[in-house]
Amino acid sequence: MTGAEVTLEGNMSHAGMVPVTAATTEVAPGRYRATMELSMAGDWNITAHVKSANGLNLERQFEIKGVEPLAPDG
Amino acid sequence: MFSSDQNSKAPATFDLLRVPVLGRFLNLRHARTLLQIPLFIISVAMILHGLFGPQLAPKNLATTYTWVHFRGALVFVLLFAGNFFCLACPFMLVRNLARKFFRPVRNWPRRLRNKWLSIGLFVTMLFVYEWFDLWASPWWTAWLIVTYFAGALVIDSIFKHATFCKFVCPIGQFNFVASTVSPLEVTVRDHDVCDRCQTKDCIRGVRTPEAPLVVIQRGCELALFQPHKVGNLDCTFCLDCVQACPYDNVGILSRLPAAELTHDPLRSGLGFLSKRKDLAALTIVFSFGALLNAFGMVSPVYVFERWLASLFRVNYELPVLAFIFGLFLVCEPVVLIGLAAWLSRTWARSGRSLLSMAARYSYSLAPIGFGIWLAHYGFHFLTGLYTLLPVTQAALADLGWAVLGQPHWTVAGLTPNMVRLFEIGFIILGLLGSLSVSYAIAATEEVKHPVRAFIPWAVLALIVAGAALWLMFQPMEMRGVSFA
Repeated sequence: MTGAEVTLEGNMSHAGMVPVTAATTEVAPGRYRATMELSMAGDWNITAHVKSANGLNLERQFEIKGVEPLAPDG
Repeated sequence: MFSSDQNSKAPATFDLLRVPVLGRFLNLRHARTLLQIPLFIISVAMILHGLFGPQLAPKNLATTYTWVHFRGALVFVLLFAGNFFCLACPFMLVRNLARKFFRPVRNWPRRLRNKWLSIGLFVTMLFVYEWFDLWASPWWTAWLIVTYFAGALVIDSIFKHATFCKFVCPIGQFNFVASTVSPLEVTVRDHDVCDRCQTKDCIRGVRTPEAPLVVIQRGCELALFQPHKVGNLDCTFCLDCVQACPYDNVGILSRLPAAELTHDPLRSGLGFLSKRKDLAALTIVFSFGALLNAFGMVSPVYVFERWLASLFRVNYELPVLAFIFGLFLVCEPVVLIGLAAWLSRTWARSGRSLLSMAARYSYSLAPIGFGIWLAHYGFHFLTGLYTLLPVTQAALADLGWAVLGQPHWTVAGLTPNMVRLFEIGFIILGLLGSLSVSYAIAATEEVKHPVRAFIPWAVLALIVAGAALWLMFQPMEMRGVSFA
């Protein structure tokens, strides 16, 4: 899908955490890239909110399991 | 340090039931029901949303209300007031309604009239929480609430009195131990009035002369006879005794938190604390369970679990988790408390048995245990305080009734760094409480060498507090576990 507006929303598996959001940029036709700062180690649920060029709204969810804490040297 | 005299309550200047408006409300005959109804409605909404709503924990009422707000509010109310969550317990609303239609006739089996079953259920609850990752599962959380309702209903429909509260409910046992450090207590205002009382309605219930077998107002269902009741253990703050007393002689009075643990009089409905090995074990599980529950939320636990899994050559969590629970809830307390009891007994040249020594001083762990629960639950509560709003907004919007507007997911609560200061404060407060209690016990019971008796228990409290502070500074991590 080209020309869409895609934002990402990351939620922790525990309640009470604020979601992390990120806007994406279309780096190639139909390919979108974003940088998200996942603020805690653990399992994250990512929801992609997609608004297509012709105004359709879509949502897709996927999981990132076992995010590790950042090493001290970054 | 603490007065062990029952009459020490006499100079208390604060009585919650004398406070304008609030006191008047709590004195109402149906005050408990009025508090239970909103919590029951919220519970039903949580169950429905947990079963049929979005299965993402931060967006579901069941998980957000239960694991962030209910637990947090519970420990803060215990810290600043008393066991008011048992007062407003929605499970008892359903049970009370059921008892209008049929009355239980059986007594709870004599061999189960202790805390061993509820200790087992409390440990099971902690275990299931980790095994099923309850914090991440609206569906399982909803079933947990349903199980509580069903448990209270079934048990109290078969057995008389408040069997579920006194002998079964894990939340109740948590509240009983935690409320020993609460500043308020349901107790008599003037013991002289009780001495003159002939009817003992606070325990027997109110009856009319025309129908002496019919109780028109319950007395204490937990077998706590007010004139001989000491402290908050086993008290659900149901206020039945307040309603039953014909002399308006029962109040909710202020007192010195944790002082009830320092002396060992014969307690109505409980006996002597030093002889109640089950209550001592409950306090130990409460205190070390606080550490274990917090340990389950930090990164090192996952490293440890992976190492154990490779050691045992298993690729599923159950045996690993069972080992960790055995290690931290059985081996660790047995070794540490056993060592403290032996050193305390030897240095103080006490004539008490090792088990009696261990049981008596174990109660001094309640304040530090509560401090750790407070730090842990307080962290989630304060950092996620306002998430109540968007989750509620979203649930109502899903129903097509967006009266609170569209959800604002960016609101959270206090920053973790700010909350960390509170956490340190709670743990230090708990440590000071435990040190005070163990010294007071030593001063009362080991008159010749109180300091020698005290030192091993002080070191134990310091070890527990040190472990809690170490945990607090570990990176948090929340996830399900898979070794595959």
